[in-house]
Amino acid sequence: MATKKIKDKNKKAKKSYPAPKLRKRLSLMLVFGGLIVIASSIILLYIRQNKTATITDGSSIAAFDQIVTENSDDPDERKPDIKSVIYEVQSDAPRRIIIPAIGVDGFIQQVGTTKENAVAVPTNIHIGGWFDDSVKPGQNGLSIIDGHVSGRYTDGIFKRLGELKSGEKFQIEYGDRSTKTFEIVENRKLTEADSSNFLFQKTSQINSQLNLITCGGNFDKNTEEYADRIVIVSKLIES
Amino acid sequence: MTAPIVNATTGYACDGVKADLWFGNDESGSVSSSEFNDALDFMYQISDSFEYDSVTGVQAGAFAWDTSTNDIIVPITEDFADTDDTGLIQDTNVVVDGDSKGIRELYSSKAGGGGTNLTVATQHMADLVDAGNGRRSDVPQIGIILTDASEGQLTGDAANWITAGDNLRAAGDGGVGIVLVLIAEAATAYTAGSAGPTVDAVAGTGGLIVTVPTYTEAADPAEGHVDSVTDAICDTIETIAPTPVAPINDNDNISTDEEDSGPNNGDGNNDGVKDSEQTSVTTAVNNILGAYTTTETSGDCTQITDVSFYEESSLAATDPSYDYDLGLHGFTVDCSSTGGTVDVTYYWDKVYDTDDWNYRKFNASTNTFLDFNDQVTYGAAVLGASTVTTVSYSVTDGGEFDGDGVANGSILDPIGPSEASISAPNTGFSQTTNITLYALIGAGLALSTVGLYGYKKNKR
Repeated sequence: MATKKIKDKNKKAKKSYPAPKLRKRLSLMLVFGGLIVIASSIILLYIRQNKTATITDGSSIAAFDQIVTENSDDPDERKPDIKSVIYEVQSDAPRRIIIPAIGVDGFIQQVGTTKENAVAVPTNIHIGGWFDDSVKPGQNGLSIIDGHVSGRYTDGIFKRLGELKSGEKFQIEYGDRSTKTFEIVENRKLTEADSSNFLFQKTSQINSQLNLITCGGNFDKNTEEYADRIVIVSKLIES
Repeated sequence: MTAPIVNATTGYACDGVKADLWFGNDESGSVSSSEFNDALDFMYQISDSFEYDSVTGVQAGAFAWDTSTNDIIVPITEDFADTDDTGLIQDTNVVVDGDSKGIRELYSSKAGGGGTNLTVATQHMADLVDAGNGRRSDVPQIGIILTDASEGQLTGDAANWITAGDNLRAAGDGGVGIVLVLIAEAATAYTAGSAGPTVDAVAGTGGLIVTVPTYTEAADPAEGHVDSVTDAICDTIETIAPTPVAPINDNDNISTDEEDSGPNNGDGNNDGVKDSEQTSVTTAVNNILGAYTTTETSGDCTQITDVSFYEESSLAATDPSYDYDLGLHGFTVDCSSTGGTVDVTYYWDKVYDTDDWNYRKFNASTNTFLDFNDQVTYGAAVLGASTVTTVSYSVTDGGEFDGDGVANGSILDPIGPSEASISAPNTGFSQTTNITLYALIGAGLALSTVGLYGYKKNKR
């Protein structure tokens, strides 16, 4: 009885194998499928490499002096080389932001308000955006600089903004190459809904307040937006 | 005749006005009994259009006249319409309550019957007003003279009638506005005859003339003459005596009536003293909220001289990144000395969620908005049965937050809760990392290897 069962089982098992021709065809499909995946990934790596290349040509960022009022779905992810790129702004306008604690060193362009009534973001993920309806950094009042947390292929200028701690310092360089130093007063993570009121709130205890902002929290694929915002409140300490 | 007006219950004519109405009814021989009844119905409906209140509303009285004068028939202190009496005589459906008040009960029969002397009638009305007879002080006085006088009667004694008109307009302590109701022959004489200039001169500046073809039409509410005369009375009230400005006890530019009508029986800061009696506390209707709010000051500056409420759009500049949905509230306060500091507490009309509020101040001297949120303290106060949000802060005369920017003994203070009108930026994307791509390459290699192995095995 037991012998018969084993025989039946083998019989059934043999029947479940595809025919040799079909097995050959499936094997070939696996080979080609794998090759397609490899080729696609290599192409994406190549695109990514090009998209995230370093910019050394000054003319490539000529549009930085325009006020950005529209957010791009495909922002420039090439990193401008600070030393070789020629980038000029008005003498008293912010040109560059340097935050040693998180390895930030990027140019600054002017951003305005989008038609959706939000603060616009820079056209390049490696540069900051000074909101032109706020005062210039270092002037009395509230100044706002935003920056990308990420692009589609690589990290943005403010990827590590959330790591900043109170008391840490950073510099803003101006068009005339003068610099001002700011000290971080507060690092706040807020929901997107709560962030705008905090972002636009100036404390009267600080004369020259500079708020930095980027996205944080989880990325919602449905809204294509991060759930939170990181806002860094800082004050001018040195001219 | 259509259904009569029976005691207005909704919507009084020029609602809220105070006035004393003096009716002078023509009882000369040319007015038949039927026309007399129409005249009574006419006056009754006119009087019924007003709200009678000896303190806050209208009073009315009547006298009859022909070549002589009959004394007061309905005293002006009476409830002329008497809401308990209803119905029109011409419909024979008059119902009275028997309290010997109002035109329905006091003025039921024609007393005159002689000739027509408008000079006597007009002068008699002036004399009645001058003598008082229940006239209230600081209340508009309106004389309504009804007549069917002929052209000759209107113009025959023109000079004296005009003089009597002048006397009537000067009578009492503030004069009398004249409304002449010209019926039948009198209407024709005015509109088509030569009586126009005389009648116009008698009515004078601010007076009005209403013409009505017949007494029957006058009494018929469907003809609209009741409304015409009522409107004329209202217009005359407005012309000769605009609504008097309510008294202000505490020099804060807000009337005592308004302050006393505020929350907590006029004690908007619950300090036990009516706000209308304090120079340092003002309760007023915030027209943006449509509700009462209270401003309380202390410190060096306690004479509030003005309280105002502003839409952001009404200011000389707008705040680009902020909205002021609840508007801005402001005051002007005088200080005991220049450079003084005022401590302010503003009592809102209810409890608000202040978490998202960002108080900002408008500086009128620079047309800029300043952040002020750190200067204010949010709280709550119990006012009677209600709890309201409070906001407290200090401003120094001539300081950064003094709206006039000058140390001049006066602090100007437009300020309000704002919320950011611009959303925070969206600065990120779903990122494809190198690790993902390398993993995909690995997966592709694995697939290909397995496929190749299978192909070779099956080839054998």
